[in-house]
Amino acid sequence: MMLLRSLLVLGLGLSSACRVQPIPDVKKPANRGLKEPFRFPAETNPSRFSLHDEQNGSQIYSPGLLLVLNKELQAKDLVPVLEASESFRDTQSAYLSAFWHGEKKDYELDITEREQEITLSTRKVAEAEQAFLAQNYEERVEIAPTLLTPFITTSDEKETFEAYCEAKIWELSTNKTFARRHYQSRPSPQPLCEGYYEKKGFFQGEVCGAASNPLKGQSYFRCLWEQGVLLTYWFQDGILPDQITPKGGELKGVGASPRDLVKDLLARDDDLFERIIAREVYDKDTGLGVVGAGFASSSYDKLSFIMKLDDTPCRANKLRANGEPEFFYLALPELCEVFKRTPLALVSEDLKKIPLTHLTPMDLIDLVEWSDTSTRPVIKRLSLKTKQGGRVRASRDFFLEGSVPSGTLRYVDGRGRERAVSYEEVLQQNHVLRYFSKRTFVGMSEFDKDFHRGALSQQSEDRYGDPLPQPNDPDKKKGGVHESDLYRSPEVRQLYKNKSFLAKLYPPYPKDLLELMADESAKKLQWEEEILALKAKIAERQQVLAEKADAAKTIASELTWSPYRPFDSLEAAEIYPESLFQKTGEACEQSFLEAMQELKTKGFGEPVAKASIEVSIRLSRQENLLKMALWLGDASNEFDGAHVVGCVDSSTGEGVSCEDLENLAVRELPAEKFTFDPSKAKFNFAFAADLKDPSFEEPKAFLAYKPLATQFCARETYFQTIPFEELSGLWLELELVADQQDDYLNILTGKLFIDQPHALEKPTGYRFEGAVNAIHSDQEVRF
Amino acid sequence: MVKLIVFVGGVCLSIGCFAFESTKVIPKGVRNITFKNAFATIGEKTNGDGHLEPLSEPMTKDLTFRRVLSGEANVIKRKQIEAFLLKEADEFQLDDSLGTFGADLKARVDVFAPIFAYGLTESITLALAVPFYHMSTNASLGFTPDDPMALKVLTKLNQDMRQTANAHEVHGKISTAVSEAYKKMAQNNVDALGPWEDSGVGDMTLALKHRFYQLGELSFAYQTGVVLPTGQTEDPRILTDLPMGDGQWDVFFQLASDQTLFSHITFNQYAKYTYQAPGRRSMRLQTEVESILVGVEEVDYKLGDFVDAGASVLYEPPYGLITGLGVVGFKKFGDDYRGVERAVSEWISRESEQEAMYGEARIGYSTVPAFRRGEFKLPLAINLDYKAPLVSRHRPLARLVTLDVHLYF
Repeated sequence: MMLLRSLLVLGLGLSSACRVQPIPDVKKPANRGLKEPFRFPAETNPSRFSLHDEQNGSQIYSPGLLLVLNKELQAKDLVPVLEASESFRDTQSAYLSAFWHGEKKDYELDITEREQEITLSTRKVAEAEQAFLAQNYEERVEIAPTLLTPFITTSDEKETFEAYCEAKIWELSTNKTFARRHYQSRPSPQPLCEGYYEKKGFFQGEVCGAASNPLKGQSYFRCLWEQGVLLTYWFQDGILPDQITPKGGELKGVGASPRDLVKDLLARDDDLFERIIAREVYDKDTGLGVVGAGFASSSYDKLSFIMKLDDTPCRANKLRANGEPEFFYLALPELCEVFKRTPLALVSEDLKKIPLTHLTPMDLIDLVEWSDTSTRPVIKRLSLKTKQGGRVRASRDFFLEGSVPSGTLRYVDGRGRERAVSYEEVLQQNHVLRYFSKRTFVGMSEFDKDFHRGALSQQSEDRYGDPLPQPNDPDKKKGGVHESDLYRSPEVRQLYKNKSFLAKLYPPYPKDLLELMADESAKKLQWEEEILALKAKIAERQQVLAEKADAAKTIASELTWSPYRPFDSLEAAEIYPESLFQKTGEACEQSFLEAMQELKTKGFGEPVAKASIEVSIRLSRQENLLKMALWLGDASNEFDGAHVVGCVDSSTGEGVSCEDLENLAVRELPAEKFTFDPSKAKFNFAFAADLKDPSFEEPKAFLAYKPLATQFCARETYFQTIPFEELSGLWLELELVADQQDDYLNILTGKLFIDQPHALEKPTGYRFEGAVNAIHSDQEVRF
Repeated sequence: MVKLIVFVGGVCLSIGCFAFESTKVIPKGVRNITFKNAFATIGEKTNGDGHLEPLSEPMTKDLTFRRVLSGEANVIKRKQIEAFLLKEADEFQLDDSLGTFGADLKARVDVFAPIFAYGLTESITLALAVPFYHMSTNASLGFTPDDPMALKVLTKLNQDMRQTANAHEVHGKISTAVSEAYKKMAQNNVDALGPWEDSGVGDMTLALKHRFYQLGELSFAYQTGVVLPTGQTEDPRILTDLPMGDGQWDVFFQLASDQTLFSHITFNQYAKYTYQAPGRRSMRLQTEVESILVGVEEVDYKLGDFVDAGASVLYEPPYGLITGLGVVGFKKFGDDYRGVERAVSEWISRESEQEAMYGEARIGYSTVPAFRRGEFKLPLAINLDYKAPLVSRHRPLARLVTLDVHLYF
């Protein structure tokens, strides 16, 4: 055994001596990237992508198309989408480079040139007309009160006229142009009323004197308010409340009288009141100018809620001066409440029940100047004269029928007696008022010019070169009576020509002026035709692009509704209203969300959490913050939606808190993650897919409907995009890369991942993937 | 694949797949222990034409679109790529390559195999071989993009299709192909390529030799036995490991003859057939297209039987010198894998049919003649063999150095 042991030792020793066991050296195989690195445009010119559009300011907004794919997708079905997308992008790029930034600019320059020519031509004619008419203007102003005197005979008429004069002070004082402009001397609210103003002591004092520097002029805003509006009878005792007691809001000035409030406003150094009138102060809630809030459709450029109130409720507005952090609380709503009392709808129905003092200024102006063209003007004038209950018996269509009845118009006054009124009388009153009603400044009204052309000059075209309507034009009847109806009748024209007062107001145009007008009219016609042709060329090119976009959209839409619902499409960063399926008999029909109310009445209930998505990426240059936001809201606008926001320090790419978001009016939900890689212009933005905003009545799932309609239709798989159940507990992450190609085409492409929060870290972990394509919003056509 | 080729070489080491086979047996009651120690560094192999190629050749692959598709784990992304290729069918074919993965692979095998033998009778010897392996490999991976093709794809994606995000993704994968491959291996539970080494017992051999004929200068013997599946088989998680056993039983039969030609010169011949029994083991179901993103399954297989035959001339003068030259022919039949897809079986068995011709030389010294003369008390022999392939097909290029120490007691 000893021998064996020795042998073993020997053998092992030999074995060990022979064993050399290094790990073999290996050559490092060639390993490299591309010889000539592929450069993305954002890399080759880093300044090109800085989220800062030099031409369009500091914000870039890139809406686009989002495709959400699921695993049932068939590759062959995606091919047409890729083809359509590429085709559209090609067309779009060519459109942008060759047309939008080239040919179109030439067209636009040509159009601008012609428009400038037209403007110059129009101005040339206007100045010539103005120069001619201005020759006798002062004289006409002098005779104006005498022209109207025959019609102001009774105490009622006198009272109405004086109220009208005071209303005109309101009209001018609340004119935004007036509030902004300087004048050499005090403009007149109504020259016809200057005698009344003088007699009543309006516009006295230093603030209403001539401008110390005639060249610069001065503002007469305080003059019109202090020495005008505050002296009108609307500010007399008993009409306005003693003190302001607003219904809501913390209003500055509570407890003061309206008069004191206005005085306070006028005394401010910051011209706040002028800026309110000039619409430079905004309603915080609506973002609209306070004047326009709720009254944007007003045809009057005036402080609508004071001048003319309808059923729109007065409310206390929180006001914000543009560009200033301070919030102002004004008591203007209190004034609003006062003037709201006028039941305007009753004015034309039963005037005798409405005391004159209950009419708003604009009510009065309306009545006197018949500014509402849908109402028969002359009748209204007569109504003014007979506000104690008179009724007009005039033939309803006597002007429209183009013939002047013989004799006189008749009406019944408040005492039940008939009174005759001549046409001449009616027309004269009308035109005197019309003539001076808009004459805040020296010059002719447009009505005058039409009158010259239509009634005196026998021209067949109006001031715009359009044919003047013929007396029996059926189209004009439909829209109500036009002003020019008054003079287009040969009989009426003749009536005017025969009257001396008209000659004083409307002197005939000289021959050279008429020839100038004719020449310029011909030139304008040619320029306008050329403009139309140029615009047609632009529209033609845009149409090609739009057709491409439509084709791509159609393809995507068709696939959206295929049985395996391969993806949903979001166009222009917004889910288009999708549809519910409604069972009608044996058929299951598609109904769009616009018809939701109708569906609700049929028992479908409301769709829940069908969210629209709008991705906006904005760079705040001042804060060096990059903000990305997703707006989630119901496409039917039935709820306000949520606003998922992330902010990143654009210098470091790291996510930071969005501290300034509290000023936004929407609900914000913080993003779970937001990073930015500037070298690749790559964004990463993540948030919970099933938003549990406590302000929602129930969880709102992104891209989901509750299957409410399944009980009605068997095609429920068509109904849901991504069911709520599939999203519960998941995260949604957008990975977007921005680029600018071909110098012009701003695109934003990327992927959308929906998966478990931590699974998103693994590229193989997501359940859904979306592709985003976007272009810059200023390129008109979006897809 | 690499591992099997090397392993067959190892089997030969353990049971004496050498030209210098003889009919010699151990006298009754005598015991013998032989320490066989062999080592080789392997970096090349022969292909089907007999030409040399790197051992890493199977790892050198073009990154074709077909492979990209096959290797994409995400269903949606795979379909997007498929849609892209369908759309661009005129521009890109499935077998167009974005670049080539290159690799270098070397292996080193050290075997220490004590063989215990005992003379049952004057003509029958029983032997047991227990090989101990120490093996190491090292591999490295690289990627060389096909620049024109890669740029074509990137241009198509970014500038034609305006898919910037996808272009970034492709660009990233081309630029970091190797790290992407390693990442892919990690995600699929495969060890990264790199140094590997392991030690352990291989498949043991139990053999019986019977010299059944001896007349004058001519003798014949047969040898039979089994190879036990005691060695560790390959680990499917490791792409470059070497197995120490093939996982199933082998049975072999060998016939040998010796003839002394003239003074101290002996001519040996042998022929041997080895039957490899069917087996079952866990395997990575690689294909030509994909070697990473594949499943691991238990697979039934039948390795190919092999035949080897050789002849040698030995000069053994009485003073103990041993010198000799020999030649060995080897043929292995193809392997058969069952229950797997054809693409898998074809790929993993594609080089299993092997042929080789080796030349051998020996020099050694034996005290046995002196022991018999009573001049030396310890009967032993030491041989140093060198074996090199003359021609081969589908065989690793292994120049084997073997040191044998035989002791009798």
